[in-house]
Amino acid sequence: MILQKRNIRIMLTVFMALFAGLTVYLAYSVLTYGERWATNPYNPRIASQKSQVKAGDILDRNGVTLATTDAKGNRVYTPDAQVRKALSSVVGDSSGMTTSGAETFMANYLLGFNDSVIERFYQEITGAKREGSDAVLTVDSTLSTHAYNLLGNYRGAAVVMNYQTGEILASVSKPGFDPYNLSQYKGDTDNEDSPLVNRATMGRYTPGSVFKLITAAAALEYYPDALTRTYTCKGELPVGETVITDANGEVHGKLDLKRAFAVSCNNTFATIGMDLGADRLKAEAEKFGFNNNFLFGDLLLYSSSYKSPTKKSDLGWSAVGQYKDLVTPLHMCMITAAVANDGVMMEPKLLKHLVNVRGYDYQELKPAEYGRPLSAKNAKTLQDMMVLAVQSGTGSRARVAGWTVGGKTGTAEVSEDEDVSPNAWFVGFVKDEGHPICVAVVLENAGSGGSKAAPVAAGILKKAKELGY
Amino acid sequence: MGRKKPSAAALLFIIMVFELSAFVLLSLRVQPIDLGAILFGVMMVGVFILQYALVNHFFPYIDRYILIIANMLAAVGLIVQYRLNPEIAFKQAGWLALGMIAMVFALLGVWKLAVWQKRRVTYILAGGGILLLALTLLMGRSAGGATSWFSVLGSTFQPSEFVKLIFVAVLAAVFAQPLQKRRLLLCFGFCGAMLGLLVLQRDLGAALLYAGTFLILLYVGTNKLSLVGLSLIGLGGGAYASYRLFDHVRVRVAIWQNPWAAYESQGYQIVQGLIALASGGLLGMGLGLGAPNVIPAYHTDFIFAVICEEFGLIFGVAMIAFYVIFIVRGALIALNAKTRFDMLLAFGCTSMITLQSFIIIGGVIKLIPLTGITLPFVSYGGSSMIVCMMLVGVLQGIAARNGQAEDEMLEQMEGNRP
Repeated sequence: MILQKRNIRIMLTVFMALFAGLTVYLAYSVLTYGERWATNPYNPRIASQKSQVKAGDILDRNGVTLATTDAKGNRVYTPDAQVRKALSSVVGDSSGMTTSGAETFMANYLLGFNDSVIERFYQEITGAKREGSDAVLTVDSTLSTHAYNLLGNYRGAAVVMNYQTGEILASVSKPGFDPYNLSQYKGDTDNEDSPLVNRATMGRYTPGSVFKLITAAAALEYYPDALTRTYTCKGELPVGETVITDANGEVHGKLDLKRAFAVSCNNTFATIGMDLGADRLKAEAEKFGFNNNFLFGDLLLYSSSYKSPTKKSDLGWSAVGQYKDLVTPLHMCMITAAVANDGVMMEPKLLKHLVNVRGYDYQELKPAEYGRPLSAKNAKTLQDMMVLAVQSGTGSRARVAGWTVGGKTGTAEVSEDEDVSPNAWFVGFVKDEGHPICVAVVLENAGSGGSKAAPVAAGILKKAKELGY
Repeated sequence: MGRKKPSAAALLFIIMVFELSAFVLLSLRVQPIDLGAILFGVMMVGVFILQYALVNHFFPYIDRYILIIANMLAAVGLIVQYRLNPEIAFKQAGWLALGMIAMVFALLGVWKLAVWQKRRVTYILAGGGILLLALTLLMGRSAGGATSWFSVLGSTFQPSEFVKLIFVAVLAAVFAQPLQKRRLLLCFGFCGAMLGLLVLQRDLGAALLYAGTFLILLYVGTNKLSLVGLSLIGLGGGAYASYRLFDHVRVRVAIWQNPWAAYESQGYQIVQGLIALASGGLLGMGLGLGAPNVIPAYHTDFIFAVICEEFGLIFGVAMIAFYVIFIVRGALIALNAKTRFDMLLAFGCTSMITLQSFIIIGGVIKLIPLTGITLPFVSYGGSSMIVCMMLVGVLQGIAARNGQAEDEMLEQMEGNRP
């Protein structure tokens, strides 16, 4: 029986390992995904808690009330319809039709799910109707409304961030919706044209030339002589059976990396991409957060994707942000922020702090580093290149008097059809540590980034300056 | 009767306070106070203490920790059942009482009767087990996607639960004897027939449980890794074949990989379970403050999610720890056994409880594909409760034999002293 006893001990060890696995997996999954699962719109507890708990207010960073609960328990939003629409993507709705707004994503705070047992017990015995915490967001409602208006009649999105802390100062998606008028969108939640889709965080757009930030970062990393190499742009670059062209058939002639970035030369960046190879380009994109499931505590951000092409021409196109490259505006803003912040990418933050029933602030925002996709030296070089692009390149319409602005334009082809205008992109930042602002703008089917998106970004930055950021 | 055991009074007192305060909380849910809840709680605690005292008095050799944990888990079950639906809690309390009686019979049967190893008994048990499962398949009614229920005298019972005892007893008897080709082939045939019948009944959880127990006893009993490997290949092939053949198996795997994709349909149960786990957080929503009724099968298969929702992650981990202690004590009984049969029987029962709790907790928290079986001692279900208590009875019976043999040895040694 000695062998059998040894076998029993071995099996017992296996059992222990199984149960240890059970415990670790349970704790890991609840602690990692718990908040996401609990604040899911499928969670009927949120709706049922609403009748028993007075939901907390949602405020902007300056204390402007964006959503509150009246005496009858109804949700009341800010009275100005334009402000309501501008902030609709950030605030969301209380009936659970949108999935990413604070009303749903922060429901556990607003409805007091996060209250301690003692707090719950206290509220239970005092007989008062339970109240959730107020959520103070990082967004500025004035800046957001201004940005929303600047998008004009185009569909699209704009995001403004503090690149040192990751605070989102504005995040708007057009068209927005009016939380008082939701019934008209019923059954429309899955439609990508629906106003219920938050384009800033869920809109996966072809980046076009704004992706050159990543190709340029890869060039700086892998070529010791990146800044002295020269390229010759003949307007057309034949690769296999296809030809990589520049917008409007421009011919840039002989130029170096800085100049090529300023004039956004497809020819040069496609050459760099094909020379680096798919693996390095993919690795670089992934360092910047592509193909990554973002799991941020404050917001839901869809993942961006970079797919390795097998054909050489596709590789060339992917290096200039075409092919199957897809990115969300908020992620593009984070990429710009990483460059502006000397290579340190900060996690986007939407929650400034919470205020509990008794008026105490808690869960104050703590800036968190997401990653370091590039070295400080290369980041500074890239900053200079972006400043040059605004001073004497395609981004000239993004200039703001009194600030040194750096940026990159993008004109993303979204259809083979000549009549469909490209999406206009602009990403930019203020090169001044006292005003650490960066911005990303995308306008659907608007035309060229330099002529359409850059002025919108400039308008947003001017407003930010006026507001003292 | 030489050894004196330390008192478990402190432990029992803590458990009693926990159980009674839970029922006081439950009674406060309505205005005026629900005296029934308090009465139920007091009676439950009273019965537990009485049972513990009586069993301890009449069977001094038993393992008290196993008894305390089984009672504790059953109490948690009753608390949650009462919170969900008092009517169900009353029924479950009845099943538990029957289970306690069945436990004593199982204890006595294992302790005093030495027939379980006899070849004829093994054949009868094996034949009876196959017959029961086959009859269920032919005449049973289906519930929850599985045809595993059987109606007798107006009340339904689940033969696959009772067959667990038969299964363990047959395997222990076979592996307790020296290896013999013919016997081994018969045994493989028996296990294959059992598993086949269970898969045909769509009772995948039970099939997994039986297969796992078979592998464990094969390994422990024969120590032949080649046989274990061969069986693993056979079982793996069977599992793959049923994956290809049966739609319901494929669905289970698909919703395990991504339940959110099929939220509205097959993934609903898992998703709601996960949401319940998450809503509870670390410390739970509080007893009676959650919304567990939205999870299908909340009082049977998914009771672990309900417990985590209302008592919190910490208590969920504590529940896992209770099972671990139970398993360790069960393995100790096996290790102390004096005969190979006793050892394999004890370890077979322990393995059943181990695998069953692992399969269902792992399924609910999405570690492994979900297969519907009950959480031992906790889930609502008469057959399950009675059989779990009988497994405890078998373990205690072997513990009693161990204790008796050790005492006899001690006496002999004392008698030999000059």
